Amino acid sequence: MPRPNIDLPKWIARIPQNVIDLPAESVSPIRHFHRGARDAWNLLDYFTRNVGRTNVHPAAFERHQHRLRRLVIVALAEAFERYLKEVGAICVDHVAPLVTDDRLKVLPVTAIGVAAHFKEDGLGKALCEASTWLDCDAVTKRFGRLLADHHSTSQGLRLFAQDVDADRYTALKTVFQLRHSIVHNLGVITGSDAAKLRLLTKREVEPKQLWPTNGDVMYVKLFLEDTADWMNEQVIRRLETLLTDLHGADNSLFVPADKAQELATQFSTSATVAGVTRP
Amino acid sequence: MIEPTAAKSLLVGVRLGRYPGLVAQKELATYPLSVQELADWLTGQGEDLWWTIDGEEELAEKLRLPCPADELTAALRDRGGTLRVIAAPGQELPEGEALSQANLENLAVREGDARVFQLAWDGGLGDVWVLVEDTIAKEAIDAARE
Repeated sequence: MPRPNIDLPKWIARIPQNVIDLPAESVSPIRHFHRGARDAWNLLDYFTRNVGRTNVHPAAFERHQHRLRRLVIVALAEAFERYLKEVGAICVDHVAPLVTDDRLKVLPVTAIGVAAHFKEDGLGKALCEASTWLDCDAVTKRFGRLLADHHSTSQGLRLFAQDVDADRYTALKTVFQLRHSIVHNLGVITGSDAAKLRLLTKREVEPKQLWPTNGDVMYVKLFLEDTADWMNEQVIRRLETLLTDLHGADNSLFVPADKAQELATQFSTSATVAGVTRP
Repeated sequence: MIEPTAAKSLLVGVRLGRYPGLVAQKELATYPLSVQELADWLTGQGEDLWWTIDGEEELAEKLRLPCPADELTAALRDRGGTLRVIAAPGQELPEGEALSQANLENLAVREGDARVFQLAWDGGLGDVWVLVEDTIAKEAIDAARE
């Protein structure tokens, strides 16, 4: 039978129509991240339990399982990157309208990138969504500048730096590097990737195909969950201090109770601004 | 204390994947069980087992899943309430037999090494979720301990 002539560009153009609502957790970056991490793990768990018990060809199951593990590692890293962007956008939206210094210059944006966000609700998404947040040093620099004291050149917060927590810094760089190998080279650790991983992990790394275990996926998940929780606490406490200072300089800028409530919802924890606490 | 009642066949709605509007109606036997009893049963299975849940986000949000039994049982006890444990076809309890800790194991579906329970909150027709013994997580955690 001859293959049917399908208008593939037409069908490709229809793909963005296949959508569902965001999960309820998306109102809070940390809740959104944890939902994504849970879903990613449950995918691997479900596949392994249900396909593994059927009469599949063991070699095929093994191959597909390893490929799925790579995809789940990427999903976890992408959920974390989305978390970084969403928190960055919140910081911009809270702080940018209250300051007159040049802190927003730390965000790499292009005119076309901003133009595409004109229909977005806030400036934060326009400035944070388009760029990549998969570099520890860049992420640290961005949050440090965004959350700096008004007109100060020093960093208001230091997140992923060697002198803050060397183990966390190295592990996060390793996760980002693994994601790079999977996304850009289909899981192949190239010679240059191997050299970088060798320096990060202090072990010989062979330039071969990445073949992760279930445990590897689990450890990435646990590490990113712990790191996201830690960062959530760091950022909200710094925002509390910064907003309180800005309010102290001009108490007509905002209503502390409103700001505290917004922060509490967005960070999913209690927040205090200018002496007003919201659970 | 919820008194276990005899099994009865109910129409249970099973939501289909990513299409929440589509609900398949299936005649499946369900049995009431208090969360207290489920928590006690989980504790009795051993502290070294890991568990996960899939499809119950309100409870899941209070946990870092997969998790050891003590974390799950604490969250279950905080929530309280009654569950309906759904029997897979062919795994129904004998006529007139009530569900308790003693025979809960009989409603577990075996998926590889893992025991899986299909559950719904009492009154929550259609919102079926699963409680899974996460043998993959346990293996990973045990390996990391060595």
